[in-house]
Amino acid sequence: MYQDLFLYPAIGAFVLLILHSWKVRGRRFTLLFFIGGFAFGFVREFFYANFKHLYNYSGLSIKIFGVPPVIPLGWMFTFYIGLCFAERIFGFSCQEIANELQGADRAKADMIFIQRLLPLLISVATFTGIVCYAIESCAIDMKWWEFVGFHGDIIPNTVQYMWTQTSIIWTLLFFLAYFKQIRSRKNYVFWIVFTAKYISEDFVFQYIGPFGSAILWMLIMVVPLFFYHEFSIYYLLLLFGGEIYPRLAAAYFGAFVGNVLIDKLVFFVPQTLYFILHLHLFHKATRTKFTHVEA
Amino acid sequence: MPRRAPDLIYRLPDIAILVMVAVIAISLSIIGRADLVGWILLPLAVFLVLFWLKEYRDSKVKAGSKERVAPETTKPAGDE
Repeated sequence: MYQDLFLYPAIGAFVLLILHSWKVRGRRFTLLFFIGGFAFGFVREFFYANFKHLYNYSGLSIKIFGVPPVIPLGWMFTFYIGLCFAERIFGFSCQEIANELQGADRAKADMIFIQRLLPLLISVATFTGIVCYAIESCAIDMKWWEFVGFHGDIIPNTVQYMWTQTSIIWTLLFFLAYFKQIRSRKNYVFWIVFTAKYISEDFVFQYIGPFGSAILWMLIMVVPLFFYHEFSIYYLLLLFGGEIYPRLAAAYFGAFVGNVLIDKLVFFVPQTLYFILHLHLFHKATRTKFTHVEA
Repeated sequence: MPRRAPDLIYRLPDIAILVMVAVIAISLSIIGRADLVGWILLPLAVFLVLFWLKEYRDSKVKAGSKERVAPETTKPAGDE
């Protein structure tokens, strides 16, 4: 019953998003974002459903290779809404960025990547992480899916880091596909390193010992810090709230383990403060202009 | 140039997310977990605050810009 109540309005809302994209952003953007996004979401869920076994999708009846198609649709819905919010906050759209990039040389393209696309990327990531709390809480309670190994309100805390990183991987991949001028070796390596890091966390860590784990931390986990200044700050906050704090808490602060409120505070308060400080009037924004108002 | 479309088209993402929020809120209320509705409103609240901050910052920057430019554009009395 609840699925029907949810499914048809969700399909209607999704159609609204496609219509918006088609009318406002054009055919190329829409096809790349929605078809590419579905493929990306499907591949991601395929590996998680068949090799990681984190979720049991018993509440969703239609599955293809073990993946309910509604899950990749949900990813796209979140990413697209996140992008719309981000554009509104920063005051520039992907189409304006595409116009700016027309005929831009390498230096200008790099500048636009740092001043326009990285803020969008970070914003979509933050939005996705926050949405995770809403969706995971609802889905578990409405029996759409079950989380294997955890129960109760703590579940969103265990996966928000994954949600956020997934959005970074997809959004960066989409930017590389849509904006030809930003395709450079540095940005490709940036995407590959971040993706490898994400994969290693979920599919490699558990198979190697403490020494191998330490090496992996050194090689993979911290490498994304060295690509872009703005991203590094955000990633450090993400890494702290999503990986370092939970590990520290498990090792040294037993009383904090499983505390939903503290987990939420540690994960989101630094990210939110990061945004608020950047949008504050007195932030000089010497490296990244977060709005396009000409002073 | 950005594509031009009717105003309603630009509001579709807002309508879509409001539909989703309403549906999830109703579903949760039916199963007795209305206490979780606040978690759904959290992303909206955070981004509305951020949007407001951006608007505030932009308005201040624009006002400051006008104040700096105004004296230069005013011709001295008797210049003509």
